[in-house]
Amino acid sequence: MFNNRDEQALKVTAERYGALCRTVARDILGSDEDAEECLNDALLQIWNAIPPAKPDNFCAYLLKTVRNLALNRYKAAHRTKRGGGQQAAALDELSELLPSAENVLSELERRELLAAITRYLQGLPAKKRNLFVRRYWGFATFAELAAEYGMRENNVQVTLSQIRKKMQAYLRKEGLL
Amino acid sequence: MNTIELSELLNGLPDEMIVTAVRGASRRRIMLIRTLPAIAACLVIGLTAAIYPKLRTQTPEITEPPAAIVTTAATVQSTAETTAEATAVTSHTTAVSRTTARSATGTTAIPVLTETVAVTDSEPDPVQTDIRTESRQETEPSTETSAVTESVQQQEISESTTLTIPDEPHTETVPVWIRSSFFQNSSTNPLMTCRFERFWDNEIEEETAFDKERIFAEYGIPEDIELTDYRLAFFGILSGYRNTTLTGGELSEDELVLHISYSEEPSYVNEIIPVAIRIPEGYTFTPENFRAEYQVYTDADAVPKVESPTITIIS
Repeated sequence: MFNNRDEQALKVTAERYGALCRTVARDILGSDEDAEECLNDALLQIWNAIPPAKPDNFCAYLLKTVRNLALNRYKAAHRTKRGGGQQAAALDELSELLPSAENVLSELERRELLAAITRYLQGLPAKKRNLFVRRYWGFATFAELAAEYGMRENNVQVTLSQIRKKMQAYLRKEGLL
Repeated sequence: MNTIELSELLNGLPDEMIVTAVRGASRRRIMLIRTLPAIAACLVIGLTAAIYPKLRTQTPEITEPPAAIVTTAATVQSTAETTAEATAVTSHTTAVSRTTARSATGTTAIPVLTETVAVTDSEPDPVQTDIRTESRQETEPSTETSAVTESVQQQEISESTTLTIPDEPHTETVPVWIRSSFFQNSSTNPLMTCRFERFWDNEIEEETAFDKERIFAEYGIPEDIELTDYRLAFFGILSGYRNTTLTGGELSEDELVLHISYSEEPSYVNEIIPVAIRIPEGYTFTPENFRAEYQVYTDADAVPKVESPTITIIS
């Protein structure tokens, strides 16, 4: 429908994927209104991008677009006041997996790092993998994850901490840290 | 490389991985939204079921003085025979009204001899003693007798709550598995509730990789059981009382009723008893059509110990 420039595509996309997109945007921005605006921006961006873009997985493409827009919106809103918020907390946790703060990675090294992270995540049980993705890709709060997965907040924190430590060891073993 | 770049790098994760994680979260939220009202309704029903029998067994507050006291006071005021007759009328009237109040609760007044003897010693007048004796016998059970009466009342009520047993015997039963219970800190007021937790949903379980083997092993569910969606329902009995036991239940096309027994003595901790029930094909179970019936025992030893409760299918 996007390829045919049918405006119904926007409505169908919002109906079908709106809830998912709002979940991602709300976790980053922490506000329903901002999440709604972010979804509208994403739909507009996709409308302009397809064609010529031909995403293999439309849902993932849309989610990534929403995430990028939400992150940009978050950065703009918090440019003056650094720290605080879920995004900052999650990013802080991710610092354990950084090769080196000063090290500028080449594109090849980036790809290797991403491939290693992907391999490691694929080897995890789906529940742990989803926890990691929801936290560090989607910036979900511990409370949200605890409610969604029927765990206690403390358990979520401990589980994520264990995943990070083991991933760190794996990346070190692969020579990427 | 900094954390923001690393976070942006994660955008390159496989599409399926991202979609699965986000879609699973969204679906779980929807499930929560759908099941919360059902859980709230179950909670209300459970609390009502737990509190209602207690309210029914409460004796009405009696504001008028006991018959013996009325009689004694009248005796002190006058020793004349006419006064004694008036006293007899007063005490008799009192006795009737109190007996009526007791009857409203469906109990039988039990005579108390010890009280009568005490009054007789203090009041030598034989006429008045007779009158008082009669009125006391009709109306004034001792504390010990009250306990017995309440026990009888509770048993009577319990019997009435278990009258849902069908007239015709049914041999068909529903498989039930009970996981070993776990405990949490007790709240100020002891709770007793049974709530529907969730269905086993094959699609979701696979997506989130809830360890099927682990969960089935915990409950003792056979691994080869054939599960279609919404055919395995999980419940949780939350009890702040001792000796809580799932004794059985009934499944009909309209509803699922679980029978739970416990002793009235509160526990120091809340016990959570997870229960899994296989809903047979042909029966549509919805959380709204679920309720629990509670049987309270004053004697902890009288609570039945049922290791394999039977849920009967009522066709």
